[in-house]
Amino acid sequence: MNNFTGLLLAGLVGLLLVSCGKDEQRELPILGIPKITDGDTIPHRIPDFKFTNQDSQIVTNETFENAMYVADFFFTSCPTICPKLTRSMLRIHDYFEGRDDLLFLSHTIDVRRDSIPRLKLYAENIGVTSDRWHFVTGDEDEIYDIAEDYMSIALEDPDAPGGFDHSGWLILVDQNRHIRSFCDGTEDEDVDRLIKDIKLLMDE
Amino acid sequence: MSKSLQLSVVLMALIIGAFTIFHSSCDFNPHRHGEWLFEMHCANCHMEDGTGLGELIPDLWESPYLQKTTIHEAACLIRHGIKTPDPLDPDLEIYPMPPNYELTESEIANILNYIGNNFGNEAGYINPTKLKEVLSDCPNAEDRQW
Ligand code: HEC
Repeated sequence: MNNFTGLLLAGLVGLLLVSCGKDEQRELPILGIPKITDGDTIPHRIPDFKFTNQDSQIVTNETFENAMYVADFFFTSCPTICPKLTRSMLRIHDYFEGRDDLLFLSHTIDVRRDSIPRLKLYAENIGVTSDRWHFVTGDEDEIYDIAEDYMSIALEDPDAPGGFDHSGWLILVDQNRHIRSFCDGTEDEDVDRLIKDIKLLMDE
Repeated sequence: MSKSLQLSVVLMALIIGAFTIFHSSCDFNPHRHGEWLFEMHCANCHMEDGTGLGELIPDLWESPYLQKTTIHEAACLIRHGIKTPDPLDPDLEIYPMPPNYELTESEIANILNYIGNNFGNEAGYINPTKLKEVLSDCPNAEDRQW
């Protein structure tokens, strides 16, 4: 081995060590645009909400008082990315089977068609219950507004397939209503990364 | 550059070239176009690996449907989608699977050859002339219930 290859090898090993080390002590940031009032920086929080789930139970911030949760936006008759999003949510749900400190919150953005019985049928068809996964409906504007707080897009758009446009993020929220991570629910590798982030948050 | 270095560079290039050619022929995939179309038009629902979603979207692995119908009949399903009465409101009809009017006959053939011979299925291959005939005469194409 000459000097040059030796150096190259050492460099590569070094790089590997650095990147591994970084991963281990990574801390999840608090995401979103902070508010600045009276010189204080207040991190972004999910505001108060009140929705109804597939079992006609009221779901509010208190529902998630002792749990972190993964949120998304979808509708049951969506012909595009929703089945994939739901499938990714389901993968996370099944991965953390038995952990009651991780819940799931799916907001319909099609409140007219997605009645409570329809949300119930959808949940039953993928084999999940409101013990861990809430499919919620509510006031249309409240849902569209809160989507922005989850850094997501949700809006009615007659030109979009199925009549609604929305982004495919899965958003991880901690017990203090802070967004700590998110991923593209249509990309399996990105979902794997979110699973790692959930583990980090569980260890906090 | 020294002679031996030149020689080793050339050798290296040859090895890499040979490897690339060999490698791509190993990877030969007879359904590449069908796979690509499937990912574009179907994988949103049936998933890239064909496993579907619970009771909502059927798993295409060892599909009883593809086994009991002929692969040509399946072409009508892809062209016209699936229309069923809404389980919660029998007066309404829904499309759990949307129609695909924009796909050409050969695109449908490629998709079917892909799903019919992957995911553990052995549905055989499509005869293009027969496919044309079948597609022009799908039963109740306008108002089909599966
Ligand atoms: C919007 C979601 C969606 C899309 C997109 C979609 N499908 Fe489907 N597909 C379904 C659903 C839902 C069913 C079952 C419907 C039923 O039986 O009521 C189905 C049924 C099928 C079946 C019959 C399987 C069985 O076991 O009954 C086949 C084959 C199939 N789809 C192939 C395709 C192909 C090929 C494409 C792409 C050209 C495609 N699908 C696109 C949702 C979809």
